Amino acid sequence: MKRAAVFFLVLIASIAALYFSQRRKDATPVSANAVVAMAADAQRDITRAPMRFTRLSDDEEVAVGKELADQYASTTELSPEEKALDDYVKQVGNSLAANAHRRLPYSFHLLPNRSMINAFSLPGGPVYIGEGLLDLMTSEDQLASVLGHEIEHIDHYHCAERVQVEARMRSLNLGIVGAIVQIPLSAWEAGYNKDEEFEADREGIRLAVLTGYSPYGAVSLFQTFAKLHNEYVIRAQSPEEELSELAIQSLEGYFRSHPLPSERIAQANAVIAQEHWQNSKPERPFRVEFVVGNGKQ
Amino acid sequence: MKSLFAFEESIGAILGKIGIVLVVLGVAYFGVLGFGRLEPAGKVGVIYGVAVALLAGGIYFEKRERYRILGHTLIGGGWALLFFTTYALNHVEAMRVMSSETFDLILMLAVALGMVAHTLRYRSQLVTGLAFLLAYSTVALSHDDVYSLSSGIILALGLVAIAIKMGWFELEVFGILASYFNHAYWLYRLLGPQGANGHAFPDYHASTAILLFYWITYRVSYVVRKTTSVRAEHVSTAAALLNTLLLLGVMKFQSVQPELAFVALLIIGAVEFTLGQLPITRRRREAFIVLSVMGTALMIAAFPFRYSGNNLDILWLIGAEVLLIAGVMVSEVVFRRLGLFAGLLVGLHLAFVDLQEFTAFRRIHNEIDLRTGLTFALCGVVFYLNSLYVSQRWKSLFAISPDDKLLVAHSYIGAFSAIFAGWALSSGDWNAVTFAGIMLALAVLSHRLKSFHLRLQYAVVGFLSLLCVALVNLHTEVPQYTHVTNRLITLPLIAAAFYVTAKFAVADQTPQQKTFRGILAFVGTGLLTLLIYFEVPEFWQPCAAIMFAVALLEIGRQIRYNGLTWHTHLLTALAILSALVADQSGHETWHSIPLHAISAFPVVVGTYWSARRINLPDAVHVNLGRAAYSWAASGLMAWVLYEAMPEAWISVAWIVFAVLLTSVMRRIHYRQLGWQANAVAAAAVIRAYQFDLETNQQLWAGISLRVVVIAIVSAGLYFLSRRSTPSGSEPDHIVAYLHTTAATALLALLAWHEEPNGWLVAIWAIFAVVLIIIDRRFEFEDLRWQAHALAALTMVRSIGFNLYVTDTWHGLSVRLLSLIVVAVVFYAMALIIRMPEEYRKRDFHHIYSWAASALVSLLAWYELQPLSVALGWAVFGLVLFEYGLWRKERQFRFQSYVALTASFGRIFFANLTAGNPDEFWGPRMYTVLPIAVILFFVYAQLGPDNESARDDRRLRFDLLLAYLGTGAIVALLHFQFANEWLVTAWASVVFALFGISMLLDRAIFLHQALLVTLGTCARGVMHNLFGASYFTAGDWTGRFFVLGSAIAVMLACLPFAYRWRDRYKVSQARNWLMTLAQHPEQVMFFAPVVLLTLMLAVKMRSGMITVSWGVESLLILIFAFVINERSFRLTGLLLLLVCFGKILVIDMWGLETRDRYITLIIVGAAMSLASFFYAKYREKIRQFL
Repeated sequence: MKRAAVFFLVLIASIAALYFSQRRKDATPVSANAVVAMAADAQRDITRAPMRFTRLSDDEEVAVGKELADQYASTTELSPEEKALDDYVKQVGNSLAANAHRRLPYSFHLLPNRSMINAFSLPGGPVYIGEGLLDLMTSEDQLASVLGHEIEHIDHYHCAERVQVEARMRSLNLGIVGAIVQIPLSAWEAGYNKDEEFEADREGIRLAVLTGYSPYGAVSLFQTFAKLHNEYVIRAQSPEEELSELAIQSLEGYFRSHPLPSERIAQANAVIAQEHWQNSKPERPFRVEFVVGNGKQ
Repeated sequence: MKSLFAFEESIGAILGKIGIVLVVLGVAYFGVLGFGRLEPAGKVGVIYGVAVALLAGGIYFEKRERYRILGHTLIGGGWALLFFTTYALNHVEAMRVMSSETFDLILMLAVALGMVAHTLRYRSQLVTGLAFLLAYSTVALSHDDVYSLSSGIILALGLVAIAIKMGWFELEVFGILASYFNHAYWLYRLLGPQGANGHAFPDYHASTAILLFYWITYRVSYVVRKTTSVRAEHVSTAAALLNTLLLLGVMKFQSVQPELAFVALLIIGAVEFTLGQLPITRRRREAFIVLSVMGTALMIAAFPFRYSGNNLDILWLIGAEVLLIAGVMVSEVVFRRLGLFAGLLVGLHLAFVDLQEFTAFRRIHNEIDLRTGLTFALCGVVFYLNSLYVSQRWKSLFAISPDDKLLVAHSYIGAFSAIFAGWALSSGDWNAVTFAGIMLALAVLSHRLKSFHLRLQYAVVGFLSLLCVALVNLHTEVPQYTHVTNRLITLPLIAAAFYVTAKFAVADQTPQQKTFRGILAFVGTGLLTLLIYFEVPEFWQPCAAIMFAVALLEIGRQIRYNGLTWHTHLLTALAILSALVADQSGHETWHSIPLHAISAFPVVVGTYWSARRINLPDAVHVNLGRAAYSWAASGLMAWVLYEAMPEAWISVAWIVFAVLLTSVMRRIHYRQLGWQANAVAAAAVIRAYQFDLETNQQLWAGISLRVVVIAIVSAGLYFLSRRSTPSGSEPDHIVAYLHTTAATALLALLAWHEEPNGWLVAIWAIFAVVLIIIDRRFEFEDLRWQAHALAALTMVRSIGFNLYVTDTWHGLSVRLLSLIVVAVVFYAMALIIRMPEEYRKRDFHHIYSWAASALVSLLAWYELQPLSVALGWAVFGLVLFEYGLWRKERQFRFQSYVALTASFGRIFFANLTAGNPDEFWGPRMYTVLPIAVILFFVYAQLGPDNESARDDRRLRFDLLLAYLGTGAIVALLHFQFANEWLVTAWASVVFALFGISMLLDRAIFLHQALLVTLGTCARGVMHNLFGASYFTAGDWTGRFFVLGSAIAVMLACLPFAYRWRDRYKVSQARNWLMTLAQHPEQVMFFAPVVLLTLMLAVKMRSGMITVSWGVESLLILIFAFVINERSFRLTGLLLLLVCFGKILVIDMWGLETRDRYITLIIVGAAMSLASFFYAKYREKIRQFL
């Protein structure tokens, strides 16, 4: 009797939970994110100790970064507008880099491609930002948050560790800097795992605030990302769509396990609350000092 | 155990000593390196105070027996510190309080080591050798012209005299080396690294004379000496060889007239050979052999310096034969062997010099080379004479190794020579004929002499003949079916040679011999077959081949050689192959029938004839052959029908042919025809499936051609199912199964083609039920299996097609309706299906309930929201479990476990990442928690008191569910808490699991607790320690609080762990986890200790790591002494030793000054205290050993 009562209690509670989950308005996307996040988490954790003990020296890291940066060196001349944007990026980036932990030759570059909504960094200092990402920005603080995020990827050895990881995966000899450039550039654009992205977000915001920017630049930019994410995310309508999505995500997602924009917003707000930055100064407008006449600036 | 403790105790005692040393050093550093504003006098006072305290402590402890060692150590440390401080009064700047250099010198007393020289004298070769070495060295360093080398002559003479007198032949070896190298060094300095290189130099003759003098001196020594042991003789041999070799080497280095090499080698060789024949030499067998061999070798080596090509062959051959004949005549084995080896040299010359020249010649001229041919022929004759005649005539002289092997080698050289003689003396198509002739001749000889090696040789020659045929005589460069006269003449000749060789090939009746003969005969047949292939027109080739095959079969019967039957087999196969490949496009026809089908018909007839006439001694082989031929004939006939009939009616023609074969089989009682009928029927089925089912042609009044053809084929199959065995015998069940299954399958497929929509699964399911009902009534077992197959197809189609159907029927979903019908039919089939009781007992009928449950689960997947699917499956699993428990049907419970497992897996893809980041009681919690509760609820029902769930426990489903439940909780925590706090959350789970395990007395939760502990430890190490940020772990919380809390929670589990250890004391461990579970306290101690130790290593300031470890190890030791746990104690001890090692290797050299002395003092004190505790608790530890 007691057993039957417990059974019915469990059954009723479960059915109630089922009822609530059926009624929930926002459709939950089916994805391999949980598994991928755990796997990436485990993979990162497993590599932590070796990473610590096989650290590249700063000189090696800078040398590798230079080799890789040569592949991005544009052969075409920037237009006056792009040149102005490039200068703007350099100006904001250099002001941030002055407050980084490591003394590295940081450099900041515009990639003149309006379809590129991304930014990435290379070991040793080079940071690249796509023109498409700049198009989304409405304040200089947002730019500072992105550049701060990328600086922190370098500052916290994420880029250097990517070299170590990729080199190990390709059985390359770390002593041969030239061999590192065999790593495809897409590997740098793909981003990092969840922990590293969170760390870069967190520390990037701190760096921006330390340089005099508003932490809400990051929040507002993440909100823009969230809007884009909600527009473009594919929600499976049937189990077979779920499975195909899972297969695709499982293959791609391992190295693209970015946190969701909502998680990044939550963390940014938590950092602001923790550091008592709620009353920080307002965001500055996004400005590019460019005079069209004769291409003079 | 006691010895281990003794070791541990001694380590403890040593720790005390080390500790005091460290303390003293630390205090000394403190004094030397300064401490804030403390003045020298103050420091001296402090250190004196410490020293006095140590001394006082030592005196105090020394009085107690237990602490005597510690007391001595403390006294020693105290005095050392006193000594140091006194020394520092003047010599350490930071502690200088007085000034006195004299006192300084007294303190700087150095201690030194002395060396002892050996004044012993020896009478030994070593000493003498050393003296000579020095003498030679001085000579080498001092001589300028050739006359200075005279000292070397004197030394050589002296050395030879000593060697002969004392019997120190090793010394002479050294002397030979020294003499020649000394001379060579002189030449090197005079001529440079290239030597004379043909250019005269003034001292050439003097140098040559000195070299010859050396050679003569040492050679005389060799000839006149008396050896008393084998070793001495061997050393002498080495000296003899070195003497000549070094002479030749140095002579070559200073050579100015290379053309004299022939004369020099010939003379030296002759002298050596002559010396070898002297009576004084012949007393020593080894010396005789050495000198004879060396002399002969030198003389043979001399000839190439003057002669080359065929002349050299002839000269060497003559020399070899002279030595061989001399050896035979005087019965001297050395000469015989020298002759045989010289013969080998001739063979090598033939192979590597003459043959290359000849092949180079043949590449340019395709004509006879008489000179080379005759040389090879002569060599061939001589070598064969050596091998075949001499060996037989003087058999006793060549009976032992290596003589017999050398003669065999001569035989092969003879064969080699004969082959190339034949090649050189013929050309073109006739090379193969010549080789075939040599093969035949060797075969006759082999047959007569019964020689294995000759057999091998003629096999090789035969192979070469075949190679020539392949490369030349086949004339593949000429288009097929073009007559070539040479081919027509030579191929039959060669084939005849092979046939005749085959006759002589058999030396005995062993299987290998028969195989050898068979191969030779087979080559003959192969050559004639190739002749047919190249010369006979395409459409006639099958006929010619089958005629040749039948002819060989009949000849084989006549001459009683069964090997020819194999030839018949292969030729028949070739005939069939040629029939199949002739005019494959079927361009050439006769009244719309392709000609190749007609040309194949004689092959069918011939093959059936062979099947009838085949004759072999073994009846089994006859039956096999007959079966193979009849199968081949029937197969070919089926092919003929395929080629000749209109394509829509091929399957009908085949089924009729199958029926015909069955009828003949029943008439002549030849079973193979029945099997052939079955095979043809199978082909008809395949044809119907592949072609006729796809035909959409209408025959008349709405009836399609497909329906008619499939109906005829099915009818034929049903007929064959009951008539496939000879009349009077039982029908073959398997064949009946196959035929009716094929018929049913064709009808099912027909239904698919006629009605391809969502309702097909329902039709098939109902059809399956009908078959099962018929089976229940008439016991047609094959129909039941077909019903199974139909049900399987229904299941596959339900999953593969109906799940995607979106049609509606009267407003209701066809997917839902059709799959419900199928699920209901399946559940019904699980109830009514007839099957052997044995299968029913093993729950085979529940395959249908499994399928039905799978369909219901899939429907849930399709109908529910993604977030709800896991929970839906869990609820379905719960219901299935309760039904299975109520009806005592374990399969329903098993289905429930699968559903629950799937539910668990599903949460990783939908539920764990659901909800918003700031939403604690969100969908993740309210969907995953109920699943965990269901898992634990079901687990709780599987307790040992539930008798009906015995199988479930046996299959460990209870463990699975418990693990899944805990896994769900652990995974939930992983996503619910911030990454760095996860370790604490998991540690709390460990605590909870320990508590539950104690409360419910279920060991499974202990196992889980241990596993989660290991996971927590790994997570803590990898994520919180090594995975933490490089720069931002500075705050107190980030550094210690998170991991510290996890460590504290884990250590709090130790009381539980000790209670569990007591429960498990008598249990047997079956795996590593149970082994751990026998000592949970070890896990619960070591996991946090490892974490703590690593945390201190990673998070502490580098200067304080050793200090913190020292304190940790002391705390561990105290804890271990209190609870008396040996492993903990050893851990503390080990950690202290690690501290000591780290101090030695790293801290002493790498730390800042302040950190260094703090480390030394604190770790030293910790070690001393550890030593103190070892002394204090000594009896207590021994009591528990």
